Amino acid sequence: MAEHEKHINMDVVQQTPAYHFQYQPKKPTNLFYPRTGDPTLKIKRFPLVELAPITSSLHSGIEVIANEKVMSTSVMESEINDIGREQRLSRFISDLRDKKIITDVAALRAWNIWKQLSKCKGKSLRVPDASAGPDDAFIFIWNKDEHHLELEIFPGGALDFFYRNRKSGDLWSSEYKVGEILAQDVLEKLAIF
Amino acid sequence: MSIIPEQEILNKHLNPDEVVLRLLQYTTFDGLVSEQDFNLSSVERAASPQSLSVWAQTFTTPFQALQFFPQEKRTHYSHVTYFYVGSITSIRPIPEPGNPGNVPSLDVIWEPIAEQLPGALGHCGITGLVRVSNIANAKDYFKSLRSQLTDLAQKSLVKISEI
Repeated sequence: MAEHEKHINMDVVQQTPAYHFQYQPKKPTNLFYPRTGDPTLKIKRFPLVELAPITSSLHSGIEVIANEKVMSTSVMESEINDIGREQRLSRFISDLRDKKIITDVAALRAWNIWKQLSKCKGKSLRVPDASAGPDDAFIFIWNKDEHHLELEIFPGGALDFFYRNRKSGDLWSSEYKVGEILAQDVLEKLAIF
Repeated sequence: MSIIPEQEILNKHLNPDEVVLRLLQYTTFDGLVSEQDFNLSSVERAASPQSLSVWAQTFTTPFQALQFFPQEKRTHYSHVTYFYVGSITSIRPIPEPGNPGNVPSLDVIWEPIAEQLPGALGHCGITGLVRVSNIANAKDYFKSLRSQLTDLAQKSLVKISEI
């Protein structure tokens, strides 16, 4: 066994659930610009934007596995699971803020960036994995088979996209500032997920 | 005159079969290892050499390692992961830079702590997890190393509460 393949014989953490979605190509939009007439990013203390709870009519006739693995490629099922997952992501970010692992500003910035990315991709972008980082940083992570994409968000509004293909070894990166328009190559990378 | 053990091993390389553990505080939304746990802290960046803190399992348990953090920070560390030193040192940036010598491989060296606490002798550091200055695509090479280390860490992730 090659050195890099050796690992301790211990339990493996659960794998990220797989999601199915329909990709709807959209023209690039101005991202991260605040709403019209609101030139500054207003900071609201609580809460982060919460989505409406899933209604019973959506649940009827649809089987949702407890660990959120979708059994069919139905867009409605994936939308339901993504809505639930997005709500949980919102709570996750709120919890990090409440535990003072990240500041109010970092929490709101991360959430707003996710919402803008999601809107940019016509809500077809998979809800990412995420974590806080040192010095009030935050990261969104997408993994799908050999594809790995991360978006690091730094205090001050710097954004670092980084892509790595585990099979081919291809690397790609791009830097932005909050308020800048994302180029097509970023949207193409997001489209993988 | 007796020789202080820490001085004997300071900055020496660990054997490839040695196992080191890394305490993790930034477990992700999905309960996985985050790349953020492989960023050097400000203290680690200021040190020479710059190195990411890990602990040799032979000398230090996760609970002993936690004692070296301030009380209020200990609860932030919820998980631990384990590596063979040889697995760490075999990681290379992919793709390799034009001149492989420009980006050194990762290494694990002894950095014992001069404190009379259990586990102090087992403190080590992963070197090479930095942006090499003055080469093109330095950030990409760094992130490639970090990403591979994260993937490796995923295989041996354990909740501290379950140890």
